[in-house]
Amino acid sequence: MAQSANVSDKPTWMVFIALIFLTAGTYVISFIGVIKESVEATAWAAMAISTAKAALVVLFFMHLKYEGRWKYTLLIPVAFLAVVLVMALYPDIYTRNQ
Amino acid sequence: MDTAVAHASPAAAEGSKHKLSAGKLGIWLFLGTEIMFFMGLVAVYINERFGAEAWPSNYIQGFDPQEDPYVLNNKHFGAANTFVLILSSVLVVLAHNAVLRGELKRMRVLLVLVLLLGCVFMGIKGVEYEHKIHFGIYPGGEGAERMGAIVAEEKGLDPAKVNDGNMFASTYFLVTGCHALHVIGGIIWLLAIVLLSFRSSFGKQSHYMVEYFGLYWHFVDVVWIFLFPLIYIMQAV
Repeated sequence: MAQSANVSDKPTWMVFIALIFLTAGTYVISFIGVIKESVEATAWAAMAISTAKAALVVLFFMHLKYEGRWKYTLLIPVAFLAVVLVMALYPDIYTRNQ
Repeated sequence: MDTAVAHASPAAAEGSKHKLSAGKLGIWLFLGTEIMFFMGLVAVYINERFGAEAWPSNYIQGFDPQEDPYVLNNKHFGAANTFVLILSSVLVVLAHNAVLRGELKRMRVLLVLVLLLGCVFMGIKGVEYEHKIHFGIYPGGEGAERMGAIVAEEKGLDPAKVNDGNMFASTYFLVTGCHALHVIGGIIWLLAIVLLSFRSSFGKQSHYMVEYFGLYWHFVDVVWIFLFPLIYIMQAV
C-alpha cells in the first residue's frame, strides 16, 4: 500500500472525457444520412466506436493495462469462445437471407 | 491484501504487477463466465436482428411512432443511460482512489452517488418498459404482433408466415432485462459496501471491497456500451 498516496484522479477524468466524445460519436452516427440508409454500415461504425470505448474502460478503469500476464491466460480463451459463439450463428443469418 | 492497483495510475500499478489475490482472481473468473453469458444473448440478438426479413424499426407507418416516440427503442433514452453508466463507472474509480488515500468520507459520498445513478438508470429503463407494455409490445403481446404484421405487409410479405414483431419484443426484453438484473444486483452489492463502510473496522485496508465491486460495475458498463448501438442505434435505421 506504499503507493496509495500517489493515486491521482486526473487520468480518470481524461478517460471520462474520451468516453463522452465517443458516446456522442455513436449517437451522431444515427443521424448521418449515408450511414442511416444502411444497417450494416451503421453496425460496423457503431461497433467500432463501442469497441474503443470498451477498451478504455477495461484497460484503465478495470486496470487490465497494468495487470500481470495472468490476464492473457484468463481472457484469451474467453475472448476466443465469445467470438466463436457469434460466428457459429452467422451461417444461419446467411442462409436465411438467401 | 497488498495487491492494490491504483486505477488509471501506471506508476502506482507497476509495483504490484504480477501479484494476484484470490479475491481478484475469483472476480475475474466470475466475469469470464459473465462474458460468455452475455455473448450468448448478444449472438442470439444479432442472429435474429440481421437474419430477419421484416424487423421492426423506429419508423413503422401506421404504428404511430411519431405520436408516441417511446413505443420502440428510443435512442435518446439509450444515450442518456449510456452517459449515466459511464459517469457511475468514473465515480467508482474515484471512490477507489479515495479509499486508497484514506479519504473514507469522500469515498462514501462517491459511492452513494453511484447508487443514485444506478437507480436513475433503472428509472429510465422502467419508463421504457412501461411504454412498451402499455402498447402491448412484449413477447406474445398484441402490439408486438400488429407491429410485425405492418412491417411484413410493407415489405410485401405474408404476415401470417413472416412476423418478427414477437422476436423483436422477446430479444429486447431478454437482453436488456438480463442487463437490468445485473444493475439491480450491483445496486444491492453497493448498498452493502456503503453500510459496511460505517463500521470502525473499515479503513484503507478494506479498499479491495470497492475494487472488486468496481470490476463488476465496469463490466456491467461495458455490456451496456455494446447494447446501446446494437439495440438503440441500429433500431433507428
